[in-house]
Amino acid sequence: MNEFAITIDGLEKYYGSFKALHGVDLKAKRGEILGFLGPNGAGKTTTIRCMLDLIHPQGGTISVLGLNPQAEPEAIKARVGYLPGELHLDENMTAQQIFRYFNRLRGNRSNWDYIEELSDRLKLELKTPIKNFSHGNKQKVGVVQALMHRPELVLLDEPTGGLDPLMQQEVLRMLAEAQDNGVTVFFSSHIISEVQAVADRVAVIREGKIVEVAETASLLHRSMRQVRIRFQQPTKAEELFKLPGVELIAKDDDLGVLLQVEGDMDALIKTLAKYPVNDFETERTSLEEIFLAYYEGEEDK
Amino acid sequence: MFTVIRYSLRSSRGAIIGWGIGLAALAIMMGSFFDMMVGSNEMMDVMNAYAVTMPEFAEIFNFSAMNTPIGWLDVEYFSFVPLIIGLFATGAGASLLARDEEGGTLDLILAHPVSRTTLFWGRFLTTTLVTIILLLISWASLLLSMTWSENFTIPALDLLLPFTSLFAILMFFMTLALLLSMLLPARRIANMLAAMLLVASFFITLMSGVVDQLERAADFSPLTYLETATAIEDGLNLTWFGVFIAIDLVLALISWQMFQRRDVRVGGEGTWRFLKRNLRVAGEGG
Repeated sequence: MNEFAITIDGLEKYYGSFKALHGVDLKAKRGEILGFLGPNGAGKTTTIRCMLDLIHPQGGTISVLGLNPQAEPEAIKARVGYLPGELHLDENMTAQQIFRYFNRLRGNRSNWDYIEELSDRLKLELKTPIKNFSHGNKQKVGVVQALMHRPELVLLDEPTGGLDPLMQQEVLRMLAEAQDNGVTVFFSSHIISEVQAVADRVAVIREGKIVEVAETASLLHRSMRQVRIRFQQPTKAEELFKLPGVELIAKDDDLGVLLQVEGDMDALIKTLAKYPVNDFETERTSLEEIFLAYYEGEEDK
Repeated sequence: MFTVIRYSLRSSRGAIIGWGIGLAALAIMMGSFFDMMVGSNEMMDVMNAYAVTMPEFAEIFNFSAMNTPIGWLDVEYFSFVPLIIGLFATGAGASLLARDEEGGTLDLILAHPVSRTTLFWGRFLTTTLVTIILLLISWASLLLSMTWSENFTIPALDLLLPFTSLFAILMFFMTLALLLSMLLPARRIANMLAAMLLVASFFITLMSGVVDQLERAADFSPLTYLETATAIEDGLNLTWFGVFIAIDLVLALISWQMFQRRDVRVGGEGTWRFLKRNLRVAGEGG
């Protein structure tokens, strides 16, 4: 069996003369949770919709669960669960009717007890017409229909959009449980904290190009730290700023400095030992700041 | 396919009930009105007076034949009912897939293991079935009106023939609207264009008998080939019926191919750029 659930090579997609994807290269390993980060309009939804043959790319290749979406779309869709970013449901149906409809489209593969279990966990009322649902409740319907047939791969476009924090946590737990059962989870988001919470790896897309793919932990580990130092007396600690990987961000007279440190802290701490220090605070950059750094870095070009 | 048809029929219930009640009421009145007309000397005098004072007008509406059940049905029913059901057909054709696409629900349906071909033909068969149901409701309602009418009588199977002819023409406008919905950026534009062609066809056919300049144009007007009284009296012209069914199928096949190659929109109406791209893709043959 192929190690990767998703393999995308050089994917290109145009909308008229606008190039939405500029040769996307991406792989998702089987059984992992891959967070797909990017600002609005970066190409997250376009990439996902190409994987399901909802739109046709002009260049590159895609393999989903070892199959080509353009050659065998139904075979892929039978094994994939999908939650669109803009979820629209038939307003005249109830959640129960929608699940029955989708279950029939899937050849009655879902276990109704499991559908009820998922719905209960999300506190979803099955017999209320969709038109009476809030945005958050509609999103719950979307989550349940994506998971109800126990797919091998789930493609989720902003899965927690519109949900309250408790339900967001529940959905993230469901994804983690799905992963425990061997499901590959590919989900796009611009809420970085949720990606940081559950994703094994993160791919960052910007203007139709993948700018980074890394393990979430390693991305955080190699990220910058901000170090705030308060001296006991005015100190000219110029040698600190000359250390490799250290950059002065701000200086408060000669009593306090704010530094940005990349990588190892060892040299900084040893050098700092020579000085009388009153306070020392360090803070690791969040995934959000890393993401913004990619974005701003590209904008500066 | 069965699931697609079943759920499409379910969502067409409102259309069947709404249109069905309207069409049934219209048809049921025919028998009573016919009895009133043939029993009224004054009415017949008015008709005769029209024939003398406004011969062109009388010819358009074929007043001279109105005192027979077939003539009455031809003038008072089939002169305008094709336009009314035609508006249903254009709306249904334009909405076949574009309504769900603009509503954003098509995206999720197509993410399930149902092929575009199954969805297209499932929906197409459902709309065809709904059209047949509405025509059968009209036919049955006319038969019902004959049960209490003293004078309005036409054999049931003979009465089915004009509806058969009408079916082929309605399918033409339905498939035309469907094709336009695949080409144009918005369902309402596709519906409007197809409906405009229907109305134009109606007036061209109606007026061509008295306006010489329209005779040539009437050859290209689909409603010219609608057989009503002639179908009952002389039988259905199977050549024209077959030609229309063939045209309907060609339009449906082109629409199906366009749907196969189409980028499904996430929701909302498209833009004219969408039209350009569709035309380019169609020109490239995929």
